[in-house]
Amino acid sequence: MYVAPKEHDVILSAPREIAQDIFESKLSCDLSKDMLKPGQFLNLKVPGDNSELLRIPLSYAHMEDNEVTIIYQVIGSGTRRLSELPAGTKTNMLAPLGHGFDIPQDAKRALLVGGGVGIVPLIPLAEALKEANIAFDVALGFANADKIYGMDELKALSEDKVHISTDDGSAGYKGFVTKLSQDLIDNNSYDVLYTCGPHIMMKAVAQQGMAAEIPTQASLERGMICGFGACSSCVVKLTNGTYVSACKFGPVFDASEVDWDE
Amino acid sequence: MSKLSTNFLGMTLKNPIVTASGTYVTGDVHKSFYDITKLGAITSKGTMLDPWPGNPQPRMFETPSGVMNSIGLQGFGMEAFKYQDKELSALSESTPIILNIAGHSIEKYVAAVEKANELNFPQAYEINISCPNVDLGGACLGLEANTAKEVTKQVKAVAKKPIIMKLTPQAYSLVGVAQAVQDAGADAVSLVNTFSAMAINVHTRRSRLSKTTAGLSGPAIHPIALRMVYEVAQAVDIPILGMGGVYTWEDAAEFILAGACTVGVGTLNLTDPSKVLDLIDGLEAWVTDQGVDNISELVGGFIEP
Repeated sequence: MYVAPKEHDVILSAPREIAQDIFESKLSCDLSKDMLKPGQFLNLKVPGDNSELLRIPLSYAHMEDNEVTIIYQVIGSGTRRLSELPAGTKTNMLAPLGHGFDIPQDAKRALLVGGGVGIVPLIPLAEALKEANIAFDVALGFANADKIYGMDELKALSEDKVHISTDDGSAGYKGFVTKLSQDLIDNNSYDVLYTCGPHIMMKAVAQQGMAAEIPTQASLERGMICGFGACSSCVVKLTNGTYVSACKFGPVFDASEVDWDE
Repeated sequence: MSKLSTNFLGMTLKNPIVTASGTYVTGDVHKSFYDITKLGAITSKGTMLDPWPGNPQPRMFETPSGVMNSIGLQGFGMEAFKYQDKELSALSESTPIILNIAGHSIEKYVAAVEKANELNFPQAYEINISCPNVDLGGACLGLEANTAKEVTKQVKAVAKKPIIMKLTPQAYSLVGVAQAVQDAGADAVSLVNTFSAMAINVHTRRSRLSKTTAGLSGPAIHPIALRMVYEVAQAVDIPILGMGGVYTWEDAAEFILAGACTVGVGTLNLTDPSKVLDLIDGLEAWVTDQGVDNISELVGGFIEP
């Protein structure tokens, strides 16, 4: 079901720091549970500084009727302000935006590979896979143990099949998550691979997926002005040489169609 | 006749608010947010004769009260409009559509306009003379009066619709360029296009965007754009479509007082897609407050110190 993007009023809950610089906020709104699909996003107006014109594009981590949960990392002044807004702050968002993950009906087993704040859209994806009775493994990469979030949800949804890595070895495997994903691909049979995280990580995962001939879906991030297909700023270069907007044709792309060297 | 009803190049607009090119496609993506027929007119995204891929990433960078963009006129080319002509013609009857045309040489502008003449929906053409021109080694035709005059003359000779020349604030003499395009037969001028600007990542020592310079828009440019519209209004007789960083109805009213008969809204369409309607309401209240029957009576109504 296609739901056209609209401007929705929201009321923010008190932000909660769930890991170092990683915050969770709940947005009360008029969206029903089925109006956002895993991998779709929203574009939130963060009040408090009129000199910052742009909204913040955000993935959602969980969706209930009339409540969207977002998880975000504080990286700039906008996300800093968002993490400090008091409960009850009124603002608005554009939603739903973009095309989300595709769940093949005949898939039996999936692999989810996430890095850092890119893990957020994998949480509702895991919920949807569980609902569709598709088994899955999860490989997550974090900078260090203090940055870990989303583990409880993903462990519960995947029946404990979550593997983690940290850059400094403070938790899980010391090194890149792409080592974990390669091992999982070598030792299991997957029908679909999903990835979201830093570009360099997704590029490696896409190569692993393509080498193993597993259809791979990657959720890409680009600098965005509007988020709904008007400005052409967030384009992704495809292997056929054309540019398409991440906000409208993505953010989830078939990894084999993306020019990863752009 | 309503308080905001505006005559512009023979078109009757419900109000003087016009979407600026590059921020609105042709209404397609905005219509889920509000009733787009409430606008005065719509300006299409800048379109060239041939399909064009546009610039590599990164294409945008946010600045205080502004945003820089380097899209590079990505588009499907003039031919693609054929398939939308019927749908857009219906829209253009209630809300006139101005087709923005760009090109990398004078021949390409002329060819694009000839192609556009085959379309039914455009009620006017807006000619973007801010794009890099191959014959000028990458400089744009809008920088100098003589090149601006030449492209205007050649486009006017073939155009079957009124032409609005869209001026660049980088012009060495903006007033000189405005007068030159008027002399060459332009039916109106629109100004200003984005301001050429730079942003450097000091860690990598490279541009924040894929090119050295990019176009700055948003409220940051509004006071400068206003001064430019005012100066051009003193120097030409043809109508002016004023634009640059309009975010509030007061910003739009300032352009009217400075001499613009219509006002373009750009960046706002991208950050707050339905806010443009508040501008229209605000202008209507302002006209009442000023005690006049129609907004046209306030065009150029600025009282000098």
